[in-house]
Amino acid sequence: MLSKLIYKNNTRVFMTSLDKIVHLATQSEYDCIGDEGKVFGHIDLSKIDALGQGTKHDICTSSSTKRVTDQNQILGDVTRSGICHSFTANGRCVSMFKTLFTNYCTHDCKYCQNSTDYKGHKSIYSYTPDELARITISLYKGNYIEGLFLSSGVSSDEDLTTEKMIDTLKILNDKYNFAGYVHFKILPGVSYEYIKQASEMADRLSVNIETPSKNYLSELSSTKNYVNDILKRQHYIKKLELKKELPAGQTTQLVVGACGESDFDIFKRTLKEYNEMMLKRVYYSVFNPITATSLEGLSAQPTWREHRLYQMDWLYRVYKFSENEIKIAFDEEGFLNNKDPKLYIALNTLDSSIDPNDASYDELLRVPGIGPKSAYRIVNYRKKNKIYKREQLLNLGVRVKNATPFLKINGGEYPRLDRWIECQTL
Amino acid sequence: MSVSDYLLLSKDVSQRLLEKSKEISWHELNISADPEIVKMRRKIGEVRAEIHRMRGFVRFNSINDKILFGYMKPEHIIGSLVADIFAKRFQKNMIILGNEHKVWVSYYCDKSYLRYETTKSLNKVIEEVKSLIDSDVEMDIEKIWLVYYESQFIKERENHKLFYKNMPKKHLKSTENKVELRLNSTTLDDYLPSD
Repeated sequence: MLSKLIYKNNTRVFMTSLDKIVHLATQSEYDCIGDEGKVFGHIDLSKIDALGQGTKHDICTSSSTKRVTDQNQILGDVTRSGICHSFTANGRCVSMFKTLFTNYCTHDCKYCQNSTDYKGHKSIYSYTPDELARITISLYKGNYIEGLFLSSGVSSDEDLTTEKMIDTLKILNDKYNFAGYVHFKILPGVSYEYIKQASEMADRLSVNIETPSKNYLSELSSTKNYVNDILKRQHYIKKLELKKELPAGQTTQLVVGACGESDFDIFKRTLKEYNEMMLKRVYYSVFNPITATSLEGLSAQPTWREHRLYQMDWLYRVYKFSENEIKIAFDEEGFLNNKDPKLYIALNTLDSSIDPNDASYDELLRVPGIGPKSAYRIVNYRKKNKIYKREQLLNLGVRVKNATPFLKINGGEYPRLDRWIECQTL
Repeated sequence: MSVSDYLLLSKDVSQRLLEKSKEISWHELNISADPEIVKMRRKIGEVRAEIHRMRGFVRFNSINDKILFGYMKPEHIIGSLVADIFAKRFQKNMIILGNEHKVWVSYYCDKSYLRYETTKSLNKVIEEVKSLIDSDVEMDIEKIWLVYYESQFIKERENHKLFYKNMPKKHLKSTENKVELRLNSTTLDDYLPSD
């Protein structure tokens, strides 16, 4: 018997008995995986390991998308905020089943363990579309993942590999009514027609550009053509995006420090990616040498380099700093120091203290310790209130210790020398 | 949901704060520097953070493919809300979440939730369900996850401090998340010679 009735947002909530729910759940079958309990019996676990390892340097784990999932009879949903289901011992988010379709590859990228240049022992594995779809659904129903991140080694025919990858998405769509998140890697050189098909089923598409220019790429790979294999494919995705919006947009990734490029080279490429290719995000992964690859003797890049590049990226993309402002953070050789670029820029550009009571939103954003959220709060709060003490700023979410040297509070302001000394200790 | 609806989900909230919250809009809550409203914002933030973490860290096993059950012991009063979120994600699947003292069950279909709550233990409810459908076949999804999770680790970037910042022990325990906890815990064995 339905004993209690509550309504919220046109959705009904009924309290009922356990056996009624059990009865209803066991009646419906539309997303059954089949062969209960035996799904993984014939799957080689070393395949999951090898093909998972092939994507561990791919760091785009965002699962936020604009797509709306409010239909009936679907399995899964997506969120605007994205969800991390786990973190590796590196502290990095694991939100998707990130895997290669096959680790067989005909490219000779010097940093990669799937390269034809790789001198160690390698077993070749491939999924079948059905097998990969079943593993994805099972991990999804176990709430281990938010969706699928599908990449692959490139066989002699990239269209054929992509066709198999698309078959996996078709099975997820048609057989399981899967509505979770899908990030699909476009392989270098793949035809427009396959990119179009993938764009109809995926939330996000990406091609890894790996390096900031064609000269750098030619140092790392003799088989990939920067303009034809990579930039042209990005342009195809952009063209498709203009016709029909890709829910989570297009992204790319660079290997940082494998070919001696400077941070400024990367910055220039990043600007082109955002402005000309309309990318949603650019990801950076510092180079770590892999044993038995051609670059195993090259030293690893410090992780902080990646962190500073992300800060630079955020200043441009989220804080809307201009290109000329960001240029201040680079040294003469074009590298970022291991210091907060926003603080460095502020020390070189903010000559007079800023009054939070009359500064514009953009001016507030340039103060270290004030981010988009706290700047928004300040602008709205001061419509009815005057800001005259540090506690108010603290309550508005400002990191007061970082911001005070640049602010004028209640008419008082810090002398420049004091400001400098304090910032050095931040 | 209103500000006061959300505040009600907090484990400890004073009547005074609750009364005040009835007059507060989401916009005011977001921009205010008033100490009491900031306190409300913090409490709601804690509730939201716990809901978000439970959505991410709860793990399900399944009986008969359509019945998903998992351990969850939240600090705040969010049990039925989280069960509903999963029920909507896995339409027409039965969601059973609970611990030693409380179980929340939810089922979603055609814009309706069916709910069941009890103070029995999770194990007891699972036994009841198994006897109702006369099946006890459980899927071992954790076996696959363990292999995949380990494959994503990059030795050169090991950073346990960052791991625990993102995946606090408190939440790993409240979702009985064994794989991540075991793989990221240093034991005495790590300091002993391997042979």
